[in-house]
Amino acid sequence: MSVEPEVPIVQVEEVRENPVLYKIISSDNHVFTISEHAVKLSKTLWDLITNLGLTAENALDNPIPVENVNGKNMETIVQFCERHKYDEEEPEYTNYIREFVLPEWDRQLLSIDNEELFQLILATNYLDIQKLMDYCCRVIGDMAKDKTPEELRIIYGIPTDAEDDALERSASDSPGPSG
Amino acid sequence: MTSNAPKFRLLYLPRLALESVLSNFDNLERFEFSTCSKRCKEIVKSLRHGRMEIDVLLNHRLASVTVTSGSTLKECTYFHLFDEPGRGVHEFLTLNGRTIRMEKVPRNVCIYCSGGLTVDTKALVDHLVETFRVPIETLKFEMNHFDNYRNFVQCFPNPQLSRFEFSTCSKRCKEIVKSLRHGRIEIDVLLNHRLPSVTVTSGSTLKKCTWFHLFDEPGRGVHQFLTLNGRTIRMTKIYGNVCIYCSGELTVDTKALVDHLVETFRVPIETLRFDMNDFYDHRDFVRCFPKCDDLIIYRTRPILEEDITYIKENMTSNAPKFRLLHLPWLALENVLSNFDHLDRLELSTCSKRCKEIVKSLRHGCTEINVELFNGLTSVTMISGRNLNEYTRFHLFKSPACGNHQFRTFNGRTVRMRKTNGTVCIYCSGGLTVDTKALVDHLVETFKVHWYSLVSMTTATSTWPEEDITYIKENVEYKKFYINGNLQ
Repeated sequence: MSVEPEVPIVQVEEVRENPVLYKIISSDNHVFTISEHAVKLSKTLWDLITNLGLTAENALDNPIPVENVNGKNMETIVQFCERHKYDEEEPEYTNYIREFVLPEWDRQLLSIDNEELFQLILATNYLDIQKLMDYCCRVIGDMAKDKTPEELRIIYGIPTDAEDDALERSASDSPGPSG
Repeated sequence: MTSNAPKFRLLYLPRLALESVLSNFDNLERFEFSTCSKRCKEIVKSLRHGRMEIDVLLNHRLASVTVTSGSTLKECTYFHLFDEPGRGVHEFLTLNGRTIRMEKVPRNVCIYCSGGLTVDTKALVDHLVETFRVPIETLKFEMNHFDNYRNFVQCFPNPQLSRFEFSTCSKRCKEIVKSLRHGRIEIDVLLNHRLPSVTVTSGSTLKKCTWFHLFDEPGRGVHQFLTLNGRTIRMTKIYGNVCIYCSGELTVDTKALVDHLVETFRVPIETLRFDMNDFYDHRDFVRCFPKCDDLIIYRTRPILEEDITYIKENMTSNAPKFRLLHLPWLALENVLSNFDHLDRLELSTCSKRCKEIVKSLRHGCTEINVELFNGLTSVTMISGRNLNEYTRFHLFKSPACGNHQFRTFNGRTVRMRKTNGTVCIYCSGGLTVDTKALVDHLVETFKVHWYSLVSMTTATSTWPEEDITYIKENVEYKKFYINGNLQ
């Protein structure tokens, strides 16, 4: 199967050094190329590649469609994966409160507005990229430092008990699916 | 006397036909029809009456009730109630069990209430309000020579004030008031150096006001007591005005009142005004009201830039919200794993849902130690694999001064101040209750037991035996120490 969409191919600088490349198509039909080492950071994509039996020979001819991720988020994800593709695997954390330093490059990469960050986390969750998820969650967690509950409500859009109850009431009042 | 012509069986008409007939009645006719019987009243109640207003004017001579209708409110029917028997030929009308005499001239109805003007006025107004399903739009008192106005005040309680008072009776009452439809309501807060003032405005044209004035003094005279978010305060009522006396706890009581109003009437604060003239304590109030639609600051002299920055930073955030609670569960857990225990505690006080989320997290080894001294309680939360991370809460009886934050634990609002790893909580008026509220909240949220060990320390060598017995009998424990010695 070969898909050739009429859209520009986004080239990321770091991908040129690796001979095995894969093509990914985002939900808005942008095409990205990503190296094998980088794509391995995404459990979902790597499982897909393995299951489809893509090899170095046929990888570029068979782009992988990712319906749940748009081009903007995919670009961030590809940049992140290319940047961290040779990183050593981190040991699984055992403490219940995470302690790690967020690198400056990643902090810059994730300096985007809240809604974009939210969508990026959803995309990361779908593609199952643990490291990017940890970094995104650290950025979100840092928003709560030294904040009062009132400020947390504003920052995170947390509804009050009254709003929650009203929502619950309206949900229970609305007719359920018939049949 | 009686006509022999066959009666028209109006009530036997099909519903649509009946409605069509009654749609030809004007307001006065509908009113009269509704007084015929309970069934007629129910039929009139079920009709659509279009836009309507009921206005009441009271003075020393008469009570006047005006029913205005029509899309442009041009059609009026006036009811004039006199405190005299009247003369001439009258019709009789029965309203809520009271039979009264009346006389009609076009668009005007004169009602003669010998001996019970207030009761009959109330009966008429109640009947109109119930039948036409609209509240009283305006209630006007002309006070010249009107000595017995208080009799009428009792008849027409301010609905917002009544609902507010009802909502403070119990949690169930509050829930009932919350579930009501209140129509258009606005809450405005004015803060200055003398007193905070909270105004609740309601009605379609926002004409009805209830003013709450909060004084930083105990007040004199006979007061009622009111409980708001666990705080009992003294108040007096004058029609439409409520004076609340908050001896020593003005900010906490203001916050408790505003929180209660916002929650009960389900509207945010519309405008928050800071009159900065001589208002040196304004920062105490800033953190009470982090959210409002319009923020207005004024001062006769130029306002200091740092004050504006402080208020802006602490009140409204323009950044779009991050929808934390909409994240997938694993992502949410991942975010919260970056929170330390104090952050988790703060989040748990945001709402019940947040508390449930924090409860469902794994917190690692957490211990809670409680130390009790005379006038001070110390609660320490210890965590980390080697139990080397501490968060200390010191609870004081004294109110203290300065800039504080507010927290609500199990329905009790307390003032607090945070420094590195230490939280000072000021519980004026309820050290034991606030300590219990905090400990209960911690125990519940972090799912730990705290009462496994009791240690008593004293400078003197002996404890009164009855004290030891009392503690042993009333505290659940696994180990009991006195001055470091296991008993």
